[in-house]
Amino acid sequence: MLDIADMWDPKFDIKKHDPIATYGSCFAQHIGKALDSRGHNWLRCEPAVDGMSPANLSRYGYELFSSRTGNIYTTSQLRQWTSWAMEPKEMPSEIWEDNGRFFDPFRPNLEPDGFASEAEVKRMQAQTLSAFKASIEKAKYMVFTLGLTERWRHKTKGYEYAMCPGTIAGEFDGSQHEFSNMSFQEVNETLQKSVDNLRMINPDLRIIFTVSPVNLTATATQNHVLVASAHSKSILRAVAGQMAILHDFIDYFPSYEVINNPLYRGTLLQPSLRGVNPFGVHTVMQTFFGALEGKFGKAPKNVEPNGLSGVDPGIIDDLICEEELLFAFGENS
Amino acid sequence: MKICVIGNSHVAAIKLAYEALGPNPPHKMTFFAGLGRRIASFEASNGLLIPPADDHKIKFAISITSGGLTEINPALYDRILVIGMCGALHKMVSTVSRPLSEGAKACAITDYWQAAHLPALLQNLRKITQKPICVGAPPLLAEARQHDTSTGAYSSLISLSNSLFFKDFTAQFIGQPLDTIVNGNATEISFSRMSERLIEGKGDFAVHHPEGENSHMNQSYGALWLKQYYEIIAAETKR
Repeated sequence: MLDIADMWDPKFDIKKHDPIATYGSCFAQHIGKALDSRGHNWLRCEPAVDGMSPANLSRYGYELFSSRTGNIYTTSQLRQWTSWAMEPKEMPSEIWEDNGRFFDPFRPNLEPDGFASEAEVKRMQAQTLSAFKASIEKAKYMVFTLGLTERWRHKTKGYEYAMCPGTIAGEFDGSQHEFSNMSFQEVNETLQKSVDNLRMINPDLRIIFTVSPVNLTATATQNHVLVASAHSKSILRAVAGQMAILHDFIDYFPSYEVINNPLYRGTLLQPSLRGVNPFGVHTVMQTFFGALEGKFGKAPKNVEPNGLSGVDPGIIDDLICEEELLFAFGENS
Repeated sequence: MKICVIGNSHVAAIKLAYEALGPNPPHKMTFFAGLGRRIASFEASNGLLIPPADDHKIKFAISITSGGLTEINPALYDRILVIGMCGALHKMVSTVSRPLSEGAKACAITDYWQAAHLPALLQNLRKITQKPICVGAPPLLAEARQHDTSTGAYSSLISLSNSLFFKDFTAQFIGQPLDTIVNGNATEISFSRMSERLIEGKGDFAVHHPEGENSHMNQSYGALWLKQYYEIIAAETKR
């Protein structure tokens, strides 16, 4: 009843074996997982840590994106990450300290209790920059979700923080930190620069932009949050759409339109009416994969070459342990 | 000293090595071994560890392995030794080797042990006894020796496991003898290959491991393990 056909006419015939990198705002976290669950080759250049629970993997920033960048909300943050990936020395040296723990201003919630030292922050930054670059180099496609236009910057040095200093870590200082809401031109320029950087790292990279359907929780502008949200999303949507029109290696996928379409009457949103509910995520991804299959046909399933591959050795251990006990106790106990 | 040995299939190598010590071993060991992780389901009651009433398989297993006992009474022993009861550790050695933050590494090790069946068993044991508990690591999977023989990451995993998890149960986690480790995170393959010989002398009946079986070790391994454990007991007794 709620199906809307043909919302997307994909440009690229994405095969299951094609490596795909995913980055962007929080909604982008769903895309990597959906790709993975359908057998696509979702790149993870900072892979999961064996032993860590799924909940803690997320808390530590693993398995969310193709490397541990944390959420990249704005086009100017994407430009920063791509620039730093090409020139790691350009990454600012600022580190926040709180009660003997150290926080990365560009991913303050990456490590729940902070890092042990400044050196560890720098070491982990270098690791992620290398992994981020590797994910772009290896990817055939990159899916990037644009989230916000509102941002917080260093007043004189110009670099952008992941969120307002003092929100999770750090301390807000009005003499050093400033709010800015990016204009259409700024979003357009920074996204174009990001694309240039990405294509410099990987000249064959194809990019799919999408706009996060998650509305703003709050705004630092004087506007009502609903007005601010519409302002931000409109700019992001327009820039992303224009990029897709101008470049044959860029496509636009309508996540925002799927979720916020009046036809759905808000049924794809969480009770707060801000976040997307699981059925909404499913609907978005169904639209994505359905359009690909509709245009290019169903991709063949990836088949595991060995029936036991991926099985926890502990389980295998249990399968054969009965025989072991017989060896030792079978005849003389 | 009387030692209560509780565990899974990895008890076998130790049992065979213990038997090879002859009629007068330095310490008397009583074995309670069950399949997989079933012993973790035992309940603590009236000073005893008791198998679930409806689990006839585990009741049978501990009766066979202990020589007829139907429950575990820690009061009868001086020390407790728990063997295995978790998945293979090679992936965790890799985790320790990875260039992770200290926080992520500690979190992974803690999560790993929390997800194992050991916490339930150790909690139940600590409800009924304050006697020394050692937990023996299951052997790393067996592999042919290659070039890297460093055991630094393995030792680090043992040390971190003790400080992050086992100290909460006043228990000591013991790794496998370092001279059985190859390639940094595997057991030297001869310790699994020789296992066919374990049944020699028991008639014509011959049992072979399934092809490719590399998770269980033989009597030679058990002997080295036992030697290490006895040295730990001796060192603690001297203190």
